[in-house]
Amino acid sequence: MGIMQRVWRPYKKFASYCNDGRPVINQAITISVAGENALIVYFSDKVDTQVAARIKTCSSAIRLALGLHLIDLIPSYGSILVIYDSLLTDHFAVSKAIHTVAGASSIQASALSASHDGKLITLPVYYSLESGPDLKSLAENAGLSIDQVIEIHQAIEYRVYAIGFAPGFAYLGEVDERIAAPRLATPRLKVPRGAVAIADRQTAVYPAESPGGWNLVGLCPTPMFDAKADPIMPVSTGDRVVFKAIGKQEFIDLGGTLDTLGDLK
Amino acid sequence: MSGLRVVQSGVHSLIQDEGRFGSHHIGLTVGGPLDRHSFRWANKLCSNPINTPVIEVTIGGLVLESTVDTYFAVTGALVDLSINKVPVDCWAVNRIKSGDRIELGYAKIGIRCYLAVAGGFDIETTFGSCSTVTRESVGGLAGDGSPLSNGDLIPCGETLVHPPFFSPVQAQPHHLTTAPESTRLRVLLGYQQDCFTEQQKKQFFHGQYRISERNDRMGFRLLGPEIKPSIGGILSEGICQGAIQVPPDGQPIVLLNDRQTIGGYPKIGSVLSLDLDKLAQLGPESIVYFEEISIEQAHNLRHLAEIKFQYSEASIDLPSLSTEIEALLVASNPRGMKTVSSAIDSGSYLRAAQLINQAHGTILIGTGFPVNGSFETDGPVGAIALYRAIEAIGGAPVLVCEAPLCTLLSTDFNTHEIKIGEDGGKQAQEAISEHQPALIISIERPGQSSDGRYYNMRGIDISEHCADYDSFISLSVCPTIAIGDGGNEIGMGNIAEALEQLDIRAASTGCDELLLADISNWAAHGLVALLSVISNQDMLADWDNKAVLQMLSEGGSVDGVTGENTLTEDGVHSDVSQKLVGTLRKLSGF
Repeated sequence: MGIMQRVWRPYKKFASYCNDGRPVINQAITISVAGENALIVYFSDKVDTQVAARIKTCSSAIRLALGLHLIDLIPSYGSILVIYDSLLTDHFAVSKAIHTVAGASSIQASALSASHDGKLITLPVYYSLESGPDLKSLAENAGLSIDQVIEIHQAIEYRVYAIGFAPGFAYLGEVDERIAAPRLATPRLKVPRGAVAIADRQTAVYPAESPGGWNLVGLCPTPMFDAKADPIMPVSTGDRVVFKAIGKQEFIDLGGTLDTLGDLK
Repeated sequence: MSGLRVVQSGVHSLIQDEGRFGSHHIGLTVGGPLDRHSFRWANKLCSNPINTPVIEVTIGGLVLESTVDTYFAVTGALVDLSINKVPVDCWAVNRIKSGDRIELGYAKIGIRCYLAVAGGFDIETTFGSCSTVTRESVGGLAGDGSPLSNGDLIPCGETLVHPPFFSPVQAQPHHLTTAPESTRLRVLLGYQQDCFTEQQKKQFFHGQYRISERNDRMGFRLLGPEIKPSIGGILSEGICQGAIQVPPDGQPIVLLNDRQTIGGYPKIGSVLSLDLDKLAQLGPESIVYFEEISIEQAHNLRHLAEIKFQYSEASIDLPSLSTEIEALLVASNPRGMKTVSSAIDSGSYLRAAQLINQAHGTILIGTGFPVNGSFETDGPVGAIALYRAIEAIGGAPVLVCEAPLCTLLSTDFNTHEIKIGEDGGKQAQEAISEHQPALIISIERPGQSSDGRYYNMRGIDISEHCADYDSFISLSVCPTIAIGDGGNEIGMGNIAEALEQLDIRAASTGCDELLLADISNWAAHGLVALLSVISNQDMLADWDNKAVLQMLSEGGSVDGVTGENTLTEDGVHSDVSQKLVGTLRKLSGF
């Protein structure tokens, strides 16, 4: 009888109001089975800065709630994948814990105004034709001047929506529609470490040299992924990022190098 | 620094431990062994903690040279495995010495092998793991994601004690399937399963899929009935082990250990981890099919497999068994063997049994202690016991002795006669070049004392009646084992110092592995007991001590102690020996 009462079904909470009267957007969560020891928690199917903030809060809360039962966790744009130790716990217990913390975190996240959540990290960028070989074509296609493109790229406070593709690769959004640009028809075999790039309405800093098809607009001297540093990455999912233009000399003073550009065109 | 030197890195060989956990949020994938079952067994066989680094060898071709004495095991795909060109078993523990060369051929059944050493490889971790993920430039020997390459030294220490023994029944590659069979992959529906119509799910579960050429540690791309979800893409989300991603072409991809952590293709569900072990051992063109299971079934299966693995305990701890046998066989101590036994490193019986087990080819067994123109019962009985056991495990034994014993034995056994008064060196050299032995054993053969003469236990010079078997031992290039129970036999040179406390004319001829017992015949039974465990055959089961003594007695044997033609060995009744055989059999778990 006891077991029957604990039948696992995703329940949805409806939008409610917290004490300051602001509506809590999209409080409903859905939990689906991902694999034999993984559940995926869906918050939204839209890219949204408040959702990102809530996912950040919720990720920490799930980590705390599951403790040693948690094997790993992947926050992304609208979801969190929760990988648990199926020898120590099961999907009933894990989804119950997620529901409990998701309810609490939605109130917590909404209590913070959108501009005061997550860390705010400023990343310096040396924008130039030398360090951003796609600036020219991007500006031409957008019908803007190169300076305008650089200005627009700096104007937005971005959100770290996800980290993946490669270690330390943070997807930042959303880029102003005016400078959004599709991926290159032919990806480059080598994009240098630190390259600041745009693809559609996302922007990123390449954490290491790798192949890549994004439009390169500049170089950032801040290491995005350093195994020996603490923290390993200056940003985490849910954090906020702004870019600030710097000159060539400052770029070099901050540890940047142009040697890696090679025959980049 | 000691370890295993990579002579030939093979097709693709990677250092792997269980994987890298807890770093997905910064984009690091899990890595680790594709066939976790085999990985875990490699470590279990070597008595290592389960998360110990091993080498994952894809397809094969790995050649290693050891700079250290240790034990190792290869699990996973079945390959031709050899030490110094001598074939040895996969899914079993093998001993290697410094300078030995381990060679893996190419996988015959399966794709991936796992090589573990006892004590484990000593490799620094990056992000908590030394698993090699080449795509991420993380892990491996240098921590930079490089696969093993020629000249690398994989550090490991010396291990002198054999890990506890698992019967071959427990450690088996049950999950390997041969090519024509189609392999079942059990699937939990999940993720975007609602975006696939019932019709498409039916096709997915009823169709057969072929593994394409595009399969690697990131994922296996399958070819078969197209299944198309109602949506083309989703917001990028976390991907778990075994997730089945369906790109717009409708051909599923099973994502594995080196997958990207997030992705934007719809997924229908995930393959059960236990079945990923099977998938990892399949090559291109292999056929798989999917079967739906519930998450509850998945958890049950996972738990059952775990319990089965955890409960597979070493059936017999071989080093302990050896120590126990060594103590038992000198317990009554009539001639001081117990007193001197501390001069020998514990484990001598196991080491000797391993020498016998690893010797492929002819094994010479010298025996026969002359007494009054005849021969003792102690020696030949044990030699016959060893002869039978060696035959049973596929070796080719030859009994070496002088007449009249040789004449008697030659009717039932392969024999080689040695003669009294001949040039011992020449006689031995000829026998060695004739038989090319892989191992030479001596059981209760008189050994030359420091003056080059032979003495019996009472110190009487019996050189007139002894042929020279000592030269077989001293001139051999193969390993040698000698058994004695008094101090005047071949092999006792190994413990010359300890023997000074006994009132005898000790033999000075040594050997590689000396075994002591109260009666030499008993040592043979002790060895056979260990060989029984190693080869998983109950070889002591039908031993009839009296019948063997009867046969020798009819040929004129005498008891070495009483000098009488009785069914006794060193004054001990045959029933006592028979009872001892029963005890040994019980000790070895039969």
